[in-house]
Amino acid sequence: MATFRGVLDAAEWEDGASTAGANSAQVKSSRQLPPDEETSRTLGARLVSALLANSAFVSAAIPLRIFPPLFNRYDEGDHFDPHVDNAVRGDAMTGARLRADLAATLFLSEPEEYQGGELIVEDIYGSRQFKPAAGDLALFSAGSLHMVAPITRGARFAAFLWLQSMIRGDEARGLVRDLDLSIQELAPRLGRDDPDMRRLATVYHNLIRTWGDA
Amino acid sequence: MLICIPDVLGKEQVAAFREIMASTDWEDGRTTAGSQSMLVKNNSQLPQVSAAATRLGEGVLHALANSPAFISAALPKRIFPPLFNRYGVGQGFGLHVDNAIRATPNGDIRIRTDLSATLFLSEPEEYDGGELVIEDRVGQQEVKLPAGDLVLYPSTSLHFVREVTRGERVASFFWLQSMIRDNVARALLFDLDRTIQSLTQRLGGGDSACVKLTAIYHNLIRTWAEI
Repeated sequence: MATFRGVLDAAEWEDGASTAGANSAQVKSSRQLPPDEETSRTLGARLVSALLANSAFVSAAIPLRIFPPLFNRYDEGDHFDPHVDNAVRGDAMTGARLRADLAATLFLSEPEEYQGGELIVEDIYGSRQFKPAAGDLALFSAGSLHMVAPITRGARFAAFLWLQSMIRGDEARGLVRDLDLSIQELAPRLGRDDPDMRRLATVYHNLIRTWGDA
Repeated sequence: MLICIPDVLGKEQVAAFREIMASTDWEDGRTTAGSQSMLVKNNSQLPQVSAAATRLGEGVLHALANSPAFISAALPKRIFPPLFNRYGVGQGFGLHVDNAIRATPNGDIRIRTDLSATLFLSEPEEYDGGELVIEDRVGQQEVKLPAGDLVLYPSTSLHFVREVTRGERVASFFWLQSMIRDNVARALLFDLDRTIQSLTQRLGGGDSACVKLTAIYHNLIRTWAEI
C-alpha cells in the first residue's frame, strides 16, 4: 500500500475522460494516470500478480483475462455519475480485447482521508455502497449501473480494472462461487479425502467444464 | 451415464404384473419400431392401446412417482406411457438407437426422448441371454437386473437386447423427457443431490453447509430446467 501511494503521490495525472466511452465522458470528473505510461503499467502488473495470488478473488471472479489496471484520483468536487461500463475493452498498446464481465475497484485511500466518494452499485435488489479500507477490493458486475459519489473533502485514490471471466453469466458464476465456499466450509470438518467431499469437488469441476471458456 | 435403481416394484407387485401379462394377448413388437429398428427387432409386446397395457402402465408410473432415486436421477418432465415386451427363445433386438421424438397413437402425448428405461419383470435365473447391452463413448455395459429393478440410460446411446437362449424375459420399457435436457448437467445434479442426501444424514439437515448446498441445487435446476 505504502509503495503504491508513494508512486501515486509523485505521479503526473491526466483528465479521466481519456478512457471513458461517449456517454461516460459526459458524467466523469476525475483524474487518471496515463494508461500507457511506465508508472501505470508497472503498478498495474504488481496489482494483477497480487490478485491472482488471492484465492477469494480467484474464486469469485474466475478470471480469464484481466485488463491492465488503471489508477484514478478524485479530489474535492470530483465525481462519476451513474453509468454502465463498455461491454468490450481494447488495450491501445497491445491490441488485446476482452469482454468486460466484471469491474473491480481497489481502494487505495483510507475512508478517513476523504468525505463522499462512495462507490454505489445498483443491481436488481437495489443499490449498495462501498467505502472499504485501503487495500480492499470491490468486485461487481460491469453490466450494473454504478457511480462514484462527489468528494466533499480530501482525495480518494483507487485502482480499477475490468476482467473477462471464464464464466460469462453472473448467475452461473455466483453458483460456482457458492459451491466453492461450501466446499471450503466443509473441508476442515470432513477432510479432503472424504467421499462426499470428492463428489462435491467433481461437481465443482464439472460445472466449470460446463460453463467455462478457457 | 447408466443408473440402476433397485426395488422400483416390490416382488408382490412384480407377481401381480406377471399374472396380468400371462393372461393377455401379445402382438408383434415391430408395431412401435422405427424403420431401422424394425429390421432388427424380434419380440412381442402388449398392444399399446389395450386395457392391460394401460392398467400396468399406470402401475409403473405410480411406482416411479414414489421413487426418490428415480426422480433425482431422471428429473422427469413427461413420461411416455410404459410399454411391455416379451422375448422368448430365439428372440432379441439388434443394435439400434431410439427415435428422438415419440408420440402416442392418438397424438395426445409427444416427447423428446432424453432417457430410456427398462424395468425388469423376470428374475435373471428365469432366462439365459437377454442382457440389455448399452454402448456409450466409454464402451459397452451389460445389464441384467433382478425383477423390480430399473435401469435408466441416455436415449442417445446405441443399445441391443441379446438373443434369449432359454426361458422368457418380460419387461416394461419407456422413454421420458427430462426437465434437464443435457446429460452432463443432469448427471451433475444427480451427483450433487446424492451428496446432499449423504451430508444431511451425517450432519443434519439444518447444518449451514447442507442449507447452502440445497440452495445451489435448486438454483442449478432453476438455471437449466425446461418445464
